[in-house]
Amino acid sequence: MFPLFLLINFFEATRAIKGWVPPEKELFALRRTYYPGDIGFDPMGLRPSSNDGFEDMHVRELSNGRLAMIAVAGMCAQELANHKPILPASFIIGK
Amino acid sequence: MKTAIRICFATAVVSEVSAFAPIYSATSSYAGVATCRFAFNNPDNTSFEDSDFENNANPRPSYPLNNDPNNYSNFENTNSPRTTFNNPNDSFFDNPNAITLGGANNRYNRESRLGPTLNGWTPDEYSPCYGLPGAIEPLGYFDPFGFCDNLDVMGVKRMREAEIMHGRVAMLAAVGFLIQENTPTIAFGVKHKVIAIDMIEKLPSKSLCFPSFCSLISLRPPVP
Repeated sequence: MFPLFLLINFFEATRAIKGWVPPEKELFALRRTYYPGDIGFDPMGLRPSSNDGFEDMHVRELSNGRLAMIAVAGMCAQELANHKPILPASFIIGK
Repeated sequence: MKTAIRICFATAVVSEVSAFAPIYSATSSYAGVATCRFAFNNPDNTSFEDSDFENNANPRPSYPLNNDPNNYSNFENTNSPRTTFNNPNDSFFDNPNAITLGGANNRYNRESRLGPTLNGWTPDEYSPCYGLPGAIEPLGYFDPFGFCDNLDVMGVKRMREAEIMHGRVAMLAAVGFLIQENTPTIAFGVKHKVIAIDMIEKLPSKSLCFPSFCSLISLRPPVP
């Protein structure tokens, strides 16, 4: 569990340093020149250079994220209800 | 072991809730900023809006502009018709060859009263959520619980930050749910029948748990 938490801590701290004002100066405040979600992590070069293209990709990410939030909530509720896997057994690797 | 895991999760949840608003899908606003500006156009026409480009109601005057961007001789001419830079109908703002005065008057790099322009989004006080993109088509601006009522720009940006963070985590989780249950794992073997919500409690290894906020404190940036 420790490497997992360390990895999560690393990503969260990187994001917090990038976007948030240090808590000694002001609590719960984003930086003024920080666009929400734009942390500069783009290893595959998916971010468009123009502003319209960025807005389009931002809306796509938002809609995928909203759908995924609903989907994960549904998966958790379904597994809590019947204690069975989501997909049938050996769906990917076969019998 | 179980209580240690639960304490660790409780600290993680408490730190997250205290840092971000516990809103999962709250913020949304108009997707089309240009349409929004057209709808909430400034009536006294004191600012230069995008609607002036669309309906072409105010034809720009045709000045004898020099199209060579390296030639600045026009700006030394005192008889140049471009003497008032505050005229909203002036083609100075639309001319890509014109010199933008420090970037402040450029329509792509202007700064409103509420905040700077970030990635093409200028905070617009006349539109819901200050015109932040994200109101997608079938519902438009959808905020039935009123999470974004009476919020300033910083509050709206915090809500959007929380939403996009939860969305990214949920996108990873939706893949991880299906992958973990159907592929071999190190802890549970090749053919296991452990469902995803029981995987942490049924871990066989007694490894160390670490509260997440401790390393967050250690990684805190120095105060400038």
